[in-house]
Amino acid sequence: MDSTLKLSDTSAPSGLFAWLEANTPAAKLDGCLLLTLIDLMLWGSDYWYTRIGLFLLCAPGIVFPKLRYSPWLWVGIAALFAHMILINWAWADNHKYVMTYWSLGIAMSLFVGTSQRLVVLATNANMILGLSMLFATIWKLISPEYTSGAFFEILFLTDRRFDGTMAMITDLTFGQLQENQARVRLLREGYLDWINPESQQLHSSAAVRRLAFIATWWTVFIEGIKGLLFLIPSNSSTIFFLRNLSLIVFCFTTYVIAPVPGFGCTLACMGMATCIERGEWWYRLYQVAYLNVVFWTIAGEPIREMIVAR
Amino acid sequence: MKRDTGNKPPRPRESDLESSRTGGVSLQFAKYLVAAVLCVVAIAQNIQAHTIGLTSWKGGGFGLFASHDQLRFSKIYLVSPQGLKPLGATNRFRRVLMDFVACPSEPTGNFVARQIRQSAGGDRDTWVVVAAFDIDYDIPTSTLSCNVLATGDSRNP
Repeated sequence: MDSTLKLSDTSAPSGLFAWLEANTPAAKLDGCLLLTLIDLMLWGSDYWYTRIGLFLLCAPGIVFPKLRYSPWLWVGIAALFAHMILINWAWADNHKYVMTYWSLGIAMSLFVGTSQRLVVLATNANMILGLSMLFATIWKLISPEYTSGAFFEILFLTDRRFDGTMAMITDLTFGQLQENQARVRLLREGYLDWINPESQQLHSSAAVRRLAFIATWWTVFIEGIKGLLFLIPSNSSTIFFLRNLSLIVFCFTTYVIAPVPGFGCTLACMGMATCIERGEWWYRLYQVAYLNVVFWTIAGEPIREMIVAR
Repeated sequence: MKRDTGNKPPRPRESDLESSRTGGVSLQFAKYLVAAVLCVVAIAQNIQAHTIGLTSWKGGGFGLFASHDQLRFSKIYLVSPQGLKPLGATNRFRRVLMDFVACPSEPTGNFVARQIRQSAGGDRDTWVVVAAFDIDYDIPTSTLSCNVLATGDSRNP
């Protein structure tokens, strides 16, 4: 796209819902920033003190469109996240780091002139997506607990988020899966009732093991591919297509099983940022992916209960 | 044709032009600062996980879902002349306990034990011991077992 067009198209829009009105780069950028602010405000913090801080920073940006084009607003948000991570460094979730990086990336794009804004925003989104996926893949490949398949087997056997699905697609019963959860609880908390087991045998089966094997290597494949695609310094149509396809598939499939709204919505916003200059349909698909994560966050538990009841 | 021998003003470098177009912030800086920070944090986390026992799930290295460290846990006992009394984690010291479990070491364990001892009250001859555990999984027998990662004692400095 011509840089003079970008210069005029990405300055702050005038209306609250300008992002819904047109398909211009300005409207798309506005939508991306707005959805990011909503994501950060709703799911950015687990602690009341930082939740208030995030609300005070994000809410004005949501209400006043011009404010969300201030790089200092985003620096403030990134600083708040960084503070939250520093005081809770040993147990801050990884998606809090991603939110910090993304806020800082947006700030960087707003610091530069409007002619380069979209390029800087897309580069930051590509870098964050690519590097986080690449590091996730490296971690998995160097972890024997992961490559042996043990990680996914334990997850499928003992995590309550999977028991409905596992009872449906494997030969284990819902009762056996709940018993597994009770055994893990006994191992970890039994000492409070003077029960101190050093080991516990779980109900498992060959079907669960096969599934764990598939999940183990599918995850490495999809994360590794995404990492490479987002880091390849190419803007060819094929790379652009594959990049977005891999991220969209990831957003639509992963967050149905494990709804982590903070991470899912941030990924969708970064996806949007890579499609502002081209890829109208991809941009819309990321918006749907964002709503999909929100839907499963709200409706996931009732649906899981319905499945279990049947 | 007459040669111009006068001093020409120096041509601005491409990076200067770029900088003036980008509101004072270097374009390269704006593009790659975040990526550089991400790499430094992730590499530091990986090193800490392999040297001081930081859980792969925390610390910003994207090692979540790479190990079953999410199952790490702790046990706390109040020790007195009458014997042992198991204590549950209350909100008051949950945070220091989570620090200990995420990155277990004896000094942190001693610190946590002292904190718990202070809030637990009791006689002068009682003390607190804490231990952090992780879980191993034996695939052929489908058996989970726990291993001590670090312990702490409120009597230790």
